[in-house]
Amino acid sequence: MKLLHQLGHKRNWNSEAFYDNHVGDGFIFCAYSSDYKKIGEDFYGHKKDEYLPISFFDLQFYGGKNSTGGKLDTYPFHPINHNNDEETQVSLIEDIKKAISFQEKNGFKSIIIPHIYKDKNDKDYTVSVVNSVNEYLSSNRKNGLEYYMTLPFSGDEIRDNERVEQILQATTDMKIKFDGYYIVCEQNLSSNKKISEDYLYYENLSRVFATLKNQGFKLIHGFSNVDALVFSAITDIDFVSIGTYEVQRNFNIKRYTEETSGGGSKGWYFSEKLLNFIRSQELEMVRINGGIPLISNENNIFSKAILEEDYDWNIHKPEVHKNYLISISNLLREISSKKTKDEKINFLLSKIIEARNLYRELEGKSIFFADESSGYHLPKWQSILTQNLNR
Amino acid sequence: MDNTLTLDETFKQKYNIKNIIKNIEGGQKNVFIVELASGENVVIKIFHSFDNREKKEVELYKKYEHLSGIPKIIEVSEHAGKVILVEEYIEGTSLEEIFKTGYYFNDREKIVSLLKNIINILKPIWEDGLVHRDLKPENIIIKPDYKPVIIDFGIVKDSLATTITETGFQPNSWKFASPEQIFAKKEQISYRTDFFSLGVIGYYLYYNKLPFGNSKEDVRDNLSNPDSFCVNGENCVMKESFNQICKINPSERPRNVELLLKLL
Repeated sequence: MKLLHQLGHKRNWNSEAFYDNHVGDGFIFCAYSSDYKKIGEDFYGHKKDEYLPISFFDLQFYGGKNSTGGKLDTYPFHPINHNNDEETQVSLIEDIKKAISFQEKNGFKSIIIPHIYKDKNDKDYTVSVVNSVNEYLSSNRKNGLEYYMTLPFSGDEIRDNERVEQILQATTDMKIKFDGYYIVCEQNLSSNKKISEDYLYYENLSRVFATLKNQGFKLIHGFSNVDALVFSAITDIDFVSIGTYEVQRNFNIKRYTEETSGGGSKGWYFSEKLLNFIRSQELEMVRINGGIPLISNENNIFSKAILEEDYDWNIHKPEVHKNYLISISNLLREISSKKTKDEKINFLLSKIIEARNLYRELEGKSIFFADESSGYHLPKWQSILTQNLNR
Repeated sequence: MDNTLTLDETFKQKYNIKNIIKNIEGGQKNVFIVELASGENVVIKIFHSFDNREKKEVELYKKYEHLSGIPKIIEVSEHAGKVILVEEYIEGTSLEEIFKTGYYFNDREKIVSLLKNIINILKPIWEDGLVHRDLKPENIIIKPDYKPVIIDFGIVKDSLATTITETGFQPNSWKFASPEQIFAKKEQISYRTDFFSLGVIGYYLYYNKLPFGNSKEDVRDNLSNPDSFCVNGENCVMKESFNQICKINPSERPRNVELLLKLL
């Protein structure tokens, strides 16, 4: 497994984490935060030849002609620039061809073929686009490059077994020439929760990864959240993204079709031991009751800094995000180091049991968490992992 | 509808028929195995009607007449308003008859050889987007040299064509049918439907029994569970092969012929 920084807002933090703290193996540049005219320029002091061979580019066609925001409109072939025209599959395929050519010309060795997000009511759209692009690629692929087709799943779509099977059947057909798939999946998150507790989401997305991997495709899990731990334990995913702000960890179509603000969070502390985010406002209670040593991350300079008593919490501080990047990378690397699927699953199960015990231990110290800081997702993780043992 | 048909003298003269060896009445056609005046045996199919399905069957035989494992068409003509297909007679015994002798029972080597031969016959057909849809021991003739010939492409489906013209016709052979056929999910019918049937045939020959139950109801029950396995806990050298080929979800079966062959 390789870890890719999903680049968005404040991508200099990702660059620093990669080059200074040795977190991750490469980057996924995103059109939303990368100006078309500046592609190939130095990346925070690093030359093109240095970062391109380990980089991917997500052109983020997700919102189609209804896209909005960021630098998407600087790409002449992005559907956002067809906002006055009728959006047809023919026009999309033409845009996709240009998107492929753009990446080839700019020296990317691994090409992400962009695709539009559709909700589950648009039943045959993805299958039809996959087949058309595949046909084009069959006679137009360049030697030595790898091509990854984007599969964006909506929150409702991933819960629909028949729909998932329809897409999997098309994407694993004998005629398919893609080397792999770039999978992004929306989560229907409950309010005040950062991690999904939707069993069908876990069950079906795991099935998507496992089926495609077993059929010989390489996989990139884009916009992956903390639950990438679960998916990586069940399937040996080739590339897993890590990101800073929630929009980099949680694919949501609204990000591409509506003007959204970042919200007013003061920030959170990601604890490797609890496998969860703790709201910064809760840390005072943890500290007063002697719980900080129990939840703190080891060998992580950013964790040490943000757990200082007088630390002035703010979601826009790099330490908050770098603590997460180091911690999630450590966990993902540990899972990846286990040889077999059952070893990976058992390792994560043991981590979950430790986390649940730790929550109980904290309660023994009168430290009770509500909402997103509680370990509400851990039993669901246990269920899905146990179900996949010996399978 | 009474499909009983006899061949009158005019017909016999037209096609130089000396003897009628066998008459098989079918839903879509009558099939006669006859001896010609020349001494050669041929199969004569008389279609009750000749619509898209029958046309497809004839086109398929013509297109793939260079393949050794499917019967060759000698003549397509009309007689008394009916389409007549004269086809090569395959000297041999149906796989179902050979199965009854126990020839394949518990014999991995023979089964693998048979399945590989069938797969190689069907490979170009699958690669063209066509699906046999009714693979079963009765539709496989084993020649004296034990090489198979696939017959009855009567419900072949073009999985690449739009489904608007598809009739949705499903075979009655529930014993060897895939879950997508049993549950009439016609959009899921593909070459992997044939893969499933081949897996069931392999299991049937190896164990002398069916993998998912002996009644239509049992088969439906078992195939409705996506976690059903073809071989459950039995010590079988082909367990992994059968289980992979007979996955309930088509997307989880081998995605191409190379992967299918690798499993055997």
